[in-house]
Amino acid sequence: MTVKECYDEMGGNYESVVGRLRSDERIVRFLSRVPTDPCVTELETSMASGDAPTAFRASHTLKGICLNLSLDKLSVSANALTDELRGKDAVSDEAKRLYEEVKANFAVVAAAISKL
Amino acid sequence: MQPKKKNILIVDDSELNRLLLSDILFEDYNIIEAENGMQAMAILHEHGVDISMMLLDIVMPEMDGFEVLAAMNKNGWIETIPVIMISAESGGAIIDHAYDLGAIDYINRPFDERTVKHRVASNLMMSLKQKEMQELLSDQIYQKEKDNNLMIEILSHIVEFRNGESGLHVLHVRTITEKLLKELAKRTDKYPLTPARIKLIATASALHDIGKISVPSEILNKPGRFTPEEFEIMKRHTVEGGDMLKTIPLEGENDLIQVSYAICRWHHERYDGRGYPDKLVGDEIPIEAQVVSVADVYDALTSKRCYKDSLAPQKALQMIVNGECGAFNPELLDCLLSIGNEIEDALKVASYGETTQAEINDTIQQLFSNSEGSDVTRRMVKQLETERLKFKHLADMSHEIMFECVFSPEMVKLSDWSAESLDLPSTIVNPRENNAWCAVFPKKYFEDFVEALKNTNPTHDIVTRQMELDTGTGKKWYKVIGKALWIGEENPELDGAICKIIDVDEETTTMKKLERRAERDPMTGLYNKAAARKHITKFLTSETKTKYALMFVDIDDFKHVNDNFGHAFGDKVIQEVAYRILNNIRSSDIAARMGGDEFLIFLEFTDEYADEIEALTERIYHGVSGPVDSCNVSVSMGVACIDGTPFDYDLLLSMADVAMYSVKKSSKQSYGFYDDSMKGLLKSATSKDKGDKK
Repeated sequence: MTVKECYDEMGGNYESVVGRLRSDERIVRFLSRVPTDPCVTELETSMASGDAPTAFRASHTLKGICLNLSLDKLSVSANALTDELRGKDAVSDEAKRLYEEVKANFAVVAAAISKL
Repeated sequence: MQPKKKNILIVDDSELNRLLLSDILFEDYNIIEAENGMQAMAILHEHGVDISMMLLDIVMPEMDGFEVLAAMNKNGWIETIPVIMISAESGGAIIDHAYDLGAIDYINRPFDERTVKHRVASNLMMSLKQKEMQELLSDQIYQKEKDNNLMIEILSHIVEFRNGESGLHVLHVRTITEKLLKELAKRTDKYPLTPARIKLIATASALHDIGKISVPSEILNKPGRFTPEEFEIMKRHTVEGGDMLKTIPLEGENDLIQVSYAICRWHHERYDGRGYPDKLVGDEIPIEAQVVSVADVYDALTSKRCYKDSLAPQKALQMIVNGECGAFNPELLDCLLSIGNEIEDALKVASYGETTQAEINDTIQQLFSNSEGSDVTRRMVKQLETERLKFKHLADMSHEIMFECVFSPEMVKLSDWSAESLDLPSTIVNPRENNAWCAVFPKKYFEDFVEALKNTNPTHDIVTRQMELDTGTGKKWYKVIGKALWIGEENPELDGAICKIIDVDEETTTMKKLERRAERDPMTGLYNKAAARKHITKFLTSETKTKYALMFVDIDDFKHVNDNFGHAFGDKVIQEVAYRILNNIRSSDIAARMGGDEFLIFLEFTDEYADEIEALTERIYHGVSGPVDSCNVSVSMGVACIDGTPFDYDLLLSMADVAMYSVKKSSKQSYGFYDDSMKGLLKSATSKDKGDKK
């Protein structure tokens, strides 16, 4: 699978990322780190325990990663979750719903990356 | 030896983001990473100013980006370590807050490799420049000690501006100080007052109130009496001024700064010890401070201030001598009394000759409308002023016409030198309708230039035009370069443009000469082969019914001429033939040397009478043939005529060529015309010709 195909599959923007980061080699190197990035587990545990500030930071970090790698679809849902969690003490139902979206999109991304 | 890589500290809680940044930057910089604010602070403690730049994320656990900035402010690191904020946050308020805390730039996610590299490099350069500027500033103080100091002028203007005092106060104090010191030196040698020292003290006197920068302007400009608290704050300007001078980095001992320090700190001390801040008594107060204190009081009394009217000079002298303004050195008071009239006269004429006071005030006003006299402002004022003056001097020294173009309302602001040399006012409102401006810069050129500037964008912001202008010495070629000023990072707006007009007349004339020369065959001065094609093609492309003839001229047996008479003579024959061709054609006809002994003539004819072209050819043929010295020179000519364009140049050329070869083949020493019977030859000639080109 080419990097471009991978991006198409996970709803990313290949043109944007290659325009900014300049090489497939570099993109793949960083993509491969995404599925195991600590922020993913951090987001999972903090959402489960209802720790909103930590969940905010974790989703914020995830959003940053998505932006940098042009994982547009995941970035949109992570952004929505980040905004919902911003400044909150508790995890709202809406946040939980948004987290499900993030999880679903993340699964697509992880699956696509594993095929590279 | 390779220069050491600069250290860049990346502070971001996401490892992936840190890696990405270091991947972009590691080739050019040494990367240090921190995953939160606490770690960053620890690294700063360890490495200090070895860190050349910090890239800082905002949202982080432990200690976020804002807290890091706040701590850096507290420790003073923010002044030496440039910080670029990085975050996915794009809210204006967040960016503003980061800027308020001293961040110098902001990079949004997602990162673009080139943007990151560029921002890091340019900000490093800028902070380096700032450091250099600080050094330059101290160099200047050191250098200019002998004459008049730039800094002093700048700082004193700043103070006066904020004071709301007349711009003359500093100048008056200086004049009085100088006169008093000269008088004192005449009377006593108790104080080491050499002429140089007197000049130095007079110069330094201008700085006596710089500490007022730290006094809030409400207090400084309060019309009524001060409350005791306010007076205490006001009094601090002496200490503050001294401290400011101490912080100016200087190489070794510096007389000017020492003298200025004494004047700033002690010009409110009184001879009886009742002054402030240190309550020094008698000659504990350095003489420079004593003299300035008298001068300061005298000018304050005789000038109008927001809280009082001016006093007559005699009345002022009276009050000072009576001790109504505190006690002074009796010897100084004697001096003051004896030269009172002289001072009065001197102050009448003392004014800022060439200083463009209004201009300086404008700059300063802008600065102070933004912020109060904080530490940062003080430095900024200094740097900006130096930059401004440097620019002004450079603009004047370069002797190029420079102007700023403001688009709304449209106006042109000329640099001092430009305005003077063009004999125009420095600001021209509505330039398109201004006759004097349009006489220099014709309206249609100006409109085109402004339009082009408006059509720029932040990445392509330069417009260059070459045009004939009249800057007072008649029309000449100039290059006009404009740089559009796009202000703002996120939504850049066009703010205006800075432009300069460069005299390229000589350059352009030379270029045109070269261009002409490039078209000529060096031996004969006729067009060369390429120029012939260029100029003849011009006639052949448009659709017309015009009749043209192309004549190929070939010297007969030229090889024989060369062999028998030598190459020098061969050249002479070529030159003679060229000369004869020129003499036998009209100025509107085209003559070229195609190489070797081949020439070409292109002319228009009308066929108004029968055989016009035959007659023309006959005339040229006989005009060109004839002996050169003792050698008989004849030519063969092939002529191709067309009775309308467009027509292919190469085809026309080969038609004439074919015609000439038929002439040569038959009888020699004659001329002949192309006709359709030669068509067969034509094809082979063209293809042969094409084959040659390859």
